Amino acid sequence: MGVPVSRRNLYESRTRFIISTGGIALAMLLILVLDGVFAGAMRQVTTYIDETDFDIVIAQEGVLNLHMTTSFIPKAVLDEVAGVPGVKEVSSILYSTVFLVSGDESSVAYLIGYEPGRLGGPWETKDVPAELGHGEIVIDEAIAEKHGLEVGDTIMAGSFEYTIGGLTQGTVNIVNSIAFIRYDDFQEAYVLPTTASYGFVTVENGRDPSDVADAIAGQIEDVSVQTREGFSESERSIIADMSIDIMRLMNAIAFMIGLVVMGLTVYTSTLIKLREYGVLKAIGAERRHLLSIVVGQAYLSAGWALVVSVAIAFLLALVLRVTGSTTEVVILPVSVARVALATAVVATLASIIPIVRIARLRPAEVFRG
Amino acid sequence: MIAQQTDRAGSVPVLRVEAVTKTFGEGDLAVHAVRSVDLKVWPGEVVLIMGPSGSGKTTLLSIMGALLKPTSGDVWIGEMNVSGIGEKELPEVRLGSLGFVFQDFNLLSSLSARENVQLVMDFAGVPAAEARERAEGLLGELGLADRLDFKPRDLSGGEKQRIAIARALANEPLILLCDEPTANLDSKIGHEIITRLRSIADEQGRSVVIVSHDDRIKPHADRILWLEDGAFTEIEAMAVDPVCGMSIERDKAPAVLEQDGETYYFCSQGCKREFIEGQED
Repeated sequence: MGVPVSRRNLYESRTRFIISTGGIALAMLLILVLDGVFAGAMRQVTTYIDETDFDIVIAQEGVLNLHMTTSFIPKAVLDEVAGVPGVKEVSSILYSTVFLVSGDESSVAYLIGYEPGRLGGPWETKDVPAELGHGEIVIDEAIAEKHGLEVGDTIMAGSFEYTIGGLTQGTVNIVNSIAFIRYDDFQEAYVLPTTASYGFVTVENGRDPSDVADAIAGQIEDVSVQTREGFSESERSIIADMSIDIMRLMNAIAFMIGLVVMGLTVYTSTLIKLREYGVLKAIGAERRHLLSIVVGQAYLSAGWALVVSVAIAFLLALVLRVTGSTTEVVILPVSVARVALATAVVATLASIIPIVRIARLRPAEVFRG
Repeated sequence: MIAQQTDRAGSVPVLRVEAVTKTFGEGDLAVHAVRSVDLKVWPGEVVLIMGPSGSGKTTLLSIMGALLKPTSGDVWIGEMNVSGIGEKELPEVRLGSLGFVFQDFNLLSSLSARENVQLVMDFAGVPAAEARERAEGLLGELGLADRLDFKPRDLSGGEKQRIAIARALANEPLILLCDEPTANLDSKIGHEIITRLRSIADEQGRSVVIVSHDDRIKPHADRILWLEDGAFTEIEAMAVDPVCGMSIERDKAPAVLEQDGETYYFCSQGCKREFIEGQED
């Protein structure tokens, strides 16, 4: 291997190396963490769907998700669904978006009315009785903590007051949380004696949910029928569509910060070494040699920045998980690949101005001390 | 103006400068840094080019080193007219035929002594292992075997200049072009560097062209040329001011003193007055 000039130049000043690589790493970390928060949020927003063990969902016609929608279907229709070949069981839930209010605190929640012992209720619980009593509500422990409440305290859900009968975990996301009450309490409060919001269908063993969903759609009119995966994907995409522009903007800002930091770093380090580049030209270095030194230095710096930013992002994700934060950061391989690509683009762009500057350098200038 | 030079029967000059002129700027603002200079440098010859500051020495050296294109005239290195070739071919000429030694050493600060020498061989396409071995050999010959892994900041001026010489010799050039090689060195180290350059010419047959103000180099040179206002002047026509030591052209000296059958030439009336007052004291 020849003399590694790029590496030597990069490591010559430890302080400069740390500051420059650290600056780029922070910009890349911003992209990674934004992606990670977004990915974590996407996973959290479908937690209810992913954790409820149904195969097919029935909703009002045209309704494909939970977020910011209302769905009403007659319970009689769900009884018809139960008769479709391949259907094992149909559970129904009532659903609305409400504000949970206590004192000055309020937070948005999906309020789910579920039938105890059927699908649709809480899955990971703490202090939840075997069967929820009338007038009781189960909320997430993070929300209870935020409101300063405990089991036995009361909280308003919409216009109605409930006693906290138990706490759940893992039902908070960036959009809202999930609260559970008895199905009959929901019916009574909202005067919906013969209506359900969604029907959760399980299929008989060995049956393909897609085939059964097609069969339901073929036999039952005026309803939307989706597999659980399709329902989950619809939920994710609607929330992603709502936040994608902000994410793109934030990513673009982080990219620009990275570009500016690296551009300044590469340009400054080139200016500092300008005389040496002149010397190299004078003693016979070709343009490609100088190009490889500048680009090599930029890529090496970018490589370190990438490694540091990925390591910090994973560490941050771990810390948030261990400390039980409601913010989940999920570092996906595609995010790492995207940041690696962004880093490579930044390194390439940042090298252009220094390369032009060196190309214009006249080697005779090195004789002028 | 023709510099002092004689053709040598049967010998081919390694460097030929033919009617080279270099003008910076245009019209009334034009500065003629080099005026129609001719020069031949022969194998194994040490040529010293002296002259006052701003006389065009460095410009001429840059032109000889293919670092600067002349406004007119030709520079031949061996059989190649380097003033006529394109920028893309010049690095190969600089790498293969020329070695540069600079006043400020101009070593790469992030590289070790060995890497500074090895680098120019990398550029020339010498395999890394061979380049490393040759770099160590050259530095060893110059007494730096125990300084191979030292960075320039940890070395003395003399050691740095020896590394610069090793770097200049790395690709076995025909000619070494040295710009004030002793300027930043004390007299002892300066003498050692000049002795090294002399022995390189004698033992390896390489030509050495030195641009310098340093009178101590004169005894080591085969030829001394005086460059003033961009043109060579006969060295015999030069005199040294006895007060300030400055070299001046006899027929252009601002002050002259005839005394006791001797003629003294001064760079200024002030020096002449100081000389006379010194005698009266």
